[in-house]
Amino acid sequence: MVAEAPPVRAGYRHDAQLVAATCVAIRRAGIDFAVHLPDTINYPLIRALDADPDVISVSCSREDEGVAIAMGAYLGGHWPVLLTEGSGLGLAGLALARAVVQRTPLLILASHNSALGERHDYAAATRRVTEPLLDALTIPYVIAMRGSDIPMLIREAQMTVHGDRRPVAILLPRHSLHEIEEDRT
Amino acid sequence: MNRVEALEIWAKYRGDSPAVTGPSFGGRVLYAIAHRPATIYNMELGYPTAVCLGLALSLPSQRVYAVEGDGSMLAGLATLTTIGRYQPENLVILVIDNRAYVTTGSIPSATSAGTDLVAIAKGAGIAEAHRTTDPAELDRVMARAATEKGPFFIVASIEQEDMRAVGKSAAMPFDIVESSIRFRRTLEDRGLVPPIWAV
Repeated sequence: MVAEAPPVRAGYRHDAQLVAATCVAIRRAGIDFAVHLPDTINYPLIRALDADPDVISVSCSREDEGVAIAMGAYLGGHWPVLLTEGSGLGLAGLALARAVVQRTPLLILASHNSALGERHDYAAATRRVTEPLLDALTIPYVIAMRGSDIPMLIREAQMTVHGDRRPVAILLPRHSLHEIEEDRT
Repeated sequence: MNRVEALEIWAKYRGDSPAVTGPSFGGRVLYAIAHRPATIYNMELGYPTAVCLGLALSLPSQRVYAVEGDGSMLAGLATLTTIGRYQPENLVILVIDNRAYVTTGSIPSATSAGTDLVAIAKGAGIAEAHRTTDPAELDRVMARAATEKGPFFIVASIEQEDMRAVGKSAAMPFDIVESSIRFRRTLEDRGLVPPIWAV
């Protein structure tokens, strides 16, 4: 029996206007320090923040390390954002707990989530850590259902970051920043 | 060289600069020797150096000091690659290497079996990586670290410790929440960071 050809993997294409609007929203929220590890959703944001001379942009090697770097950035006078895949939050539980205890203001933009747009089998573990980890640490979060909402969500979440002096997360399903072929036909 | 000797030398050069220490009784020893308000004690295992990296990148005009144990440094090795990448000139990392997890039962650490933290740091791109067992040499390296371009990574290889003797130290009169707020307030008072307004 001859096996069928495997399904072709879909490529991703980002909505450039949404990416630009998201970066503008990050800057307008007063964020001036970005620490990040790339994934298929957030990498254009990272490139844009890297290119901004008014942002200290740091590529870390582990996401828990990134949380710790963000803690230092806040203590050193900056307003940080962490861009990470949801799996990275799973790795960062203890560091995030310390950030919560120390009252560290930190906006988290976490790609991937449990329910939406997760087609790949190898993301099975990733799908299972994001929301449960945030729930366990009582870190508030919202899921960006529409890309056009992201600038507003960043603005409003950063208000809570300021007011509550702790991390707040916005979860970015793939559809929120990607152009999705089937949706446009 | 013992822990107190190493920390006394470190404290002489650190002065009032921002510092973050790792978990263990070593923080209480440092508190007793030379407490300064811009200090966060007992950062979680593996993260003191990463917190200091964020501080160093945020405060380029200030020398920033991390104090690690060998166990905490082993847990946070990935940070050395980020330091190698960004080369913060104002970051000084001191690793107190007693080759064991002394606070938690003296189980030997990987450095007891030959893991070379200095070689790892150099491999990560930190050129100023040094190891010493001698107080005079530590003094010389710390003097350079306090004045010359870093990052500096210094392993003070100390005598093996008996927790029953060295672990007798006074508790600190504040917790990790207060120390982090005091840390930030201290930098505010020095005009290094802006105040955070309640609105």
